[in-house]
Amino acid sequence: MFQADLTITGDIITIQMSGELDASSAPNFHKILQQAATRSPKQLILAMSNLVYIASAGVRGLVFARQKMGDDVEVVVEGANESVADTIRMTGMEHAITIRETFSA
Amino acid sequence: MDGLKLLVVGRHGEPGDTETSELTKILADCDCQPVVSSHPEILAGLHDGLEPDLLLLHAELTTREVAVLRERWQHLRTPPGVLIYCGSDHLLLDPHLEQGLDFLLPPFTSALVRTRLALGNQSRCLVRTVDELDPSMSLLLHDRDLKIGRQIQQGFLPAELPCPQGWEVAAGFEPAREVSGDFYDGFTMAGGRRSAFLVADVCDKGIGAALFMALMRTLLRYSAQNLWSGALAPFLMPTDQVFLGSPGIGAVPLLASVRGANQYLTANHLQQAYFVTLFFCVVDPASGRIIYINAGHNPPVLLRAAGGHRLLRPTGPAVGLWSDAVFTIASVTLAPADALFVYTDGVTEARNPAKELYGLPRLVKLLTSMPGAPANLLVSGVLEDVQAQRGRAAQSDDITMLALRRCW
Repeated sequence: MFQADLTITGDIITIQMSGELDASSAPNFHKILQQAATRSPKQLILAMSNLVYIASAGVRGLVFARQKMGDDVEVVVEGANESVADTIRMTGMEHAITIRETFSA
Repeated sequence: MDGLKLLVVGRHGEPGDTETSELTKILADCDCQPVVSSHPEILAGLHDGLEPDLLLLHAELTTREVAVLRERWQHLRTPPGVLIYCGSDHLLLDPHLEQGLDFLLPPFTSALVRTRLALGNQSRCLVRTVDELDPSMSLLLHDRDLKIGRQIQQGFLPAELPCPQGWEVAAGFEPAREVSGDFYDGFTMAGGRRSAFLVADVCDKGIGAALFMALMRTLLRYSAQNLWSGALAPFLMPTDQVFLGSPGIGAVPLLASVRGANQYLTANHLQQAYFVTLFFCVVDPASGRIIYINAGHNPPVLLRAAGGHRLLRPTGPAVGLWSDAVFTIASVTLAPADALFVYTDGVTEARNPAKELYGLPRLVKLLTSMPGAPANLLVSGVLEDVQAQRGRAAQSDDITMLALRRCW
């Protein structure tokens, strides 16, 4: 069961993600990203510490995120587990987004 | 008309208005037992226990009032049908007709009223039938979409793969119920001197992914087979591309086709955010040398007949992400009896009922337990092991595999 919750702190939008992001849950993720994009943040943090699994359809969501946010917005993947981070890295997405191992706070 | 339960609502404040009196008299002649009421009485809940088949409403009621009255019985499995009746002023019907409601006009003769009641009741039952059919129609459409997507996908898989002399080639494709964008391909190039093999996976699922698969397969195969001659090479080769080792025959079409597909997708389809991971290799059958591009794809496993393995990790990002992506050509040489196993994430991400992934370590362990095995056994062995691990869990993704083995 995938869940994504959006919080806004100043210019930073954080999306807390949990569960499994696959083809069936990707449309929900896309909707949340649309909401985030309308707020024109300076940074988008995708908090993935509770995300168990990401399929290629989920990585497609990251591509969407990168496109919707515009070039000046930093997109950060934070706290992803090893297999999620590997899946993201394998596609080459790490060139366009920042992958942080742990929370910055 | 026997048994039809009718609720008649007359003009405002005139329970015995002429039209309503005439109508109820005829209804009684038609063996119906009409309940005559008023708008306030119904709103007060006086007839909530009644489950009318038809509401006969005076045209003087506003469309809003009619809607409120109808709403009162919408919870019924078959909500009542509606007939709007009027006296001599037919213009009162107009707003109700615009709402798509049926009508009953004077003179109220027994035959006319019977016919109108029967038709009104039929329409009501039809509405219920259509409502009940709706979910099954959606399912049918979904099934049809699945079938179309699957036909697109399978129509683009090669009928047969080239098998260079001294080599074995085997492929396996096990579709999941929901269509995805996996494909494999194989063809000769460079005037038959090289064989090219390709395994690719379009991200996401559904007809969109299947269409992208068809597009990618066409772009890659066309460019690889038609841009090899060298005449176009100087224009196709970017100055910032990197070769690991000397490129050799087939490098230009390999790179040109991957770059071309990437440029095409990023120039025309960036908004859809589809991307494709692929492993594309060109085999020199005589020397065993394979040049390849791994664009963000699961690492194929090179199996040494003498024991040991190597993972051919990505040499560039997935195709379709960035227009300025750099794809590097790498190379590897297969000794006699060495094999290369290429697959999609349907293998490593297959899951058992406890949702545990099959995983790359299990795949590598299985393959390395079969050094020197024929290509078709590698494919069937992996498929069997994935199915054994999956148990009774549903197959969520396509499983696509391609094995190449150099025999001598």
